[in-house]
Amino acid sequence: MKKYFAVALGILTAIGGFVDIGDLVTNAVVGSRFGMSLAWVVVVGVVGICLFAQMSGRVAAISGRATFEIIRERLGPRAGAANLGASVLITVMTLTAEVGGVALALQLASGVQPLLWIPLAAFAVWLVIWRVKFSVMENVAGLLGLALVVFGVSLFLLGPDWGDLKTQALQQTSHPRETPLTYWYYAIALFGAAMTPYEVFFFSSGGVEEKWTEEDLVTSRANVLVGFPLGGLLSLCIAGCAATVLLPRGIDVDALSQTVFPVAMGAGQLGLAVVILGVVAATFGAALETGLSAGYALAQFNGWSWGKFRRPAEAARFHLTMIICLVVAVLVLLTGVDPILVTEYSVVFSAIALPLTYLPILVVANDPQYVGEHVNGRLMNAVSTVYLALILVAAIAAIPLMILTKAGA
Amino acid sequence: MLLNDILSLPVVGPEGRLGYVADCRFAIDGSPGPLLADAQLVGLIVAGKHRHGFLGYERTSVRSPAPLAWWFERRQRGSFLVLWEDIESIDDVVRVRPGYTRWSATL
Repeated sequence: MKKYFAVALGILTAIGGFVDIGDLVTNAVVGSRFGMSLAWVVVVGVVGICLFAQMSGRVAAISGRATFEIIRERLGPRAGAANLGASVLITVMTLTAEVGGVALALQLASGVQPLLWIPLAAFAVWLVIWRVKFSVMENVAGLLGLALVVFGVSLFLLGPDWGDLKTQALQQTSHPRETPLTYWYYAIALFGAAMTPYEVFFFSSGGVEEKWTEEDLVTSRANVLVGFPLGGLLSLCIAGCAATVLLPRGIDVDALSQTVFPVAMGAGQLGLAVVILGVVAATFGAALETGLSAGYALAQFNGWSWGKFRRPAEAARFHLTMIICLVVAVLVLLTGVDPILVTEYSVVFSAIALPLTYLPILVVANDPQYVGEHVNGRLMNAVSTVYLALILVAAIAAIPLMILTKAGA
Repeated sequence: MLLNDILSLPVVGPEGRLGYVADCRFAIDGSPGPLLADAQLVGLIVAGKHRHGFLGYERTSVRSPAPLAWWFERRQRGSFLVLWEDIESIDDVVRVRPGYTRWSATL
């Protein structure tokens, strides 16, 4: 019974934890500009993150090593350090976006300027990282994040023309205001939002934090293979809401209020309250995950003692790293930069940095010295190699597309 | 000397430039400790064009996923192991003694 409960809890937190500011903003932007015609990218991204998390979770459970310990071992110090630099940069950028997202959501709830919420949100993130037990932190944030299911409820209440949404998704209807280049730019952004590298650093380091063993492989697999696709479905509901309400009215998403506007239309004031709770939980949870991921990456690479299972005094450099990252995020946000803009860039840069961590994990998931008999099977290798090609193409195409489309303008 | 200082250095033999140090090969004689206390440097892996290692694909037992194994096998072509005793000096370049042996780099 306890085991079933653990699996159910894991799945629920995976759903709630899947959506972060990147998914919220990018899906709403894409829905409002392209309708459901980029829904296929969410499906492709979800399959990708399932593969990636499944491999890194298996490596963590069997070898007891998390992502950046492996990257250091397999790539060596120089290529590893370049990899670390890029990955930490993207993670801190995502952390900045998440802290900004918390502040924007609190502004929606209170009307108080986000600039006042930013230091408070970052302080709360630090306090939770410092004090709260790993499992409690993960479960509470994930379960509260489930409030975002209200996007699905709203979509039903809005009563869209389902046939039209299906046509948009399957037949690639034209978008007079858009060019093929912006279509592909947002395809990469959406792919980066679904396959964010920090999710994998967090997932594999979390496996070590929770002392996974071979016996936990089934639970971890269920969390990934059920939780993430349902999280992806939630992403599609966000896009669906935007496609139903914002697209016909020609409203572009450049603020969080526009992302949640369809919920207010579909589910009224109560829906709006629930969605704001969900957005705060999802962005706050993701801020915890990204803050920890930056600490995990640096500490694992440098061989420092790390983990929330240790008291902060026993992992001082790990905790100091996270404090510095949070301070950097706050300073960036206090310049007045728009968190939505940071989010839009962070998802594209996530796609650019993805091969750096995907390749070493794919290599090690095939290495019997790390995972013994649990190496990738043939089918897994076939699919994950196709994804390696896909990830490389997305990473290479991202910057030229960013320049040509002026970041999707 | 730090291993980091050796990796990627050009390697020169009596017949001219041989390539670059792509990796260092160790043997663990005793039981492996957390700090590799019992590891001994056997020699350097010299690769013709590439300065980076082969991500573990120098082991013949690791052959999947096939496209990656094929790619790294191609990159390894022409690479070889020079034993530590065949290394004459290391400064800006690694010099190899005359009469050295090119051992297979595969494991």
